[in-house]
Amino acid sequence: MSDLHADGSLTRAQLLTRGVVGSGALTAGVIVAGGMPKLAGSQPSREQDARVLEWLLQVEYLQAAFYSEAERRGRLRGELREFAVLVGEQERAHVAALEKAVRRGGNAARRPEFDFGDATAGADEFVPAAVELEEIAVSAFNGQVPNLTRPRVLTAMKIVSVEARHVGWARDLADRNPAPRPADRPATQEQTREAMEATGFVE
Amino acid sequence: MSDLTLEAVDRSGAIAEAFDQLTGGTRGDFFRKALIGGAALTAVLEAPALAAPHNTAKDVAILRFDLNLEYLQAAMYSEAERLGEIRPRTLEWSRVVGANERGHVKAIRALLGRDATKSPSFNFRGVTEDDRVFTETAVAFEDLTAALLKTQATQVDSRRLLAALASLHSVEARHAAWIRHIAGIVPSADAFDEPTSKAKVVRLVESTNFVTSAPRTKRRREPRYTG
Repeated sequence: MSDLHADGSLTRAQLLTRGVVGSGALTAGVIVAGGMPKLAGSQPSREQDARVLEWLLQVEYLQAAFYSEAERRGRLRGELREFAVLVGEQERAHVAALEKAVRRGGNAARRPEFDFGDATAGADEFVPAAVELEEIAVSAFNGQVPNLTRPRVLTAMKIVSVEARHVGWARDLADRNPAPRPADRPATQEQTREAMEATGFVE
Repeated sequence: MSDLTLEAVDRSGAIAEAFDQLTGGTRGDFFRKALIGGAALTAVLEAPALAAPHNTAKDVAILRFDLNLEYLQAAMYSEAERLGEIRPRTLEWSRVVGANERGHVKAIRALLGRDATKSPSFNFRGVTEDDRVFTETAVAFEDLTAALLKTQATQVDSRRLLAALASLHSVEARHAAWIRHIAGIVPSADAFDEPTSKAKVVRLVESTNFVTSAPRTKRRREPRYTG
């Protein structure tokens, strides 16, 4: 079914008229195998936890800075403004939690510089950028969850769940299918790094 | 934030069986199969249909519980889609999410392999035709499923299953945010989503009275001798 290749680009109207998204086309194999993360060769350990969380913190820094700037510039209105303010507050809470975890592991996190250009200056650019950043976060966390020790699996799951809510909300605001696939594709660290660079936001 | 209730849905008791029957027999002293690793793992991920699952008893129990929850959600949303009585936005949600949940059923059955169980029978008691009750019920199920998967993620023995559960988990959270948005409830109420216990999910399922018969299990009864 050709509709299924659409990675969320189907609009609400298209979904309604076509009545698509038949699960028949998605074999279990695709879901189960279609993008399983490459698991780290080593078993989870506290040292590995610290490295993974430090990496995920980079993703959170990007998001938190994005929403904080959007709020500061004050160009969003209505529900978009509410979205930016609430989601920004939650991303900053994620940053604080991960910074604490990373410090406990004896590492110091480095906060990169960002330049969001016009993406934080108005609805037309803000919404697609928000969708992209949230998708990056969901796939980054999903890719790293299997590499963590159990207590940290829970830390990551409590956050990625909220990132997934953000992306669902942002996509609905953008009139894009909030849940275009039965399973979210995890990303490797390298894939996430490339996706972050592709946004053009990281200095 | 409105307080969600399922007050419009009857309350009864007989349902936990459907879920617990499948998961209750796991506390025994089962031997554990070695976790697959390295090259074997890659092979399984690339060709899951060909690979015999190497699930521990604990992982089988976790997956079976999830499978029943997915059966329930898939059936409920599919019925709502078929009847077409709910409002357009909710109907669209049930179309997309129903397809996703049917996908989850297939995925979990594949993960279980020969340990997969059949679907219980359901009676949704009019919920699939009433927009308000359907929406409230869907919010409750999506929020709770996402919460349950967090608990299970810390419990599964296999990292391969952990990866699979994580990729289903975030989709449940998307569903939850979407249906909340439709219902006019904050899609993302807290900075951290907390886990929940299996018992809480069982209580929700019981409260709905949706499950009308437990699925047949493969467990064989000891023959009775009267003489």
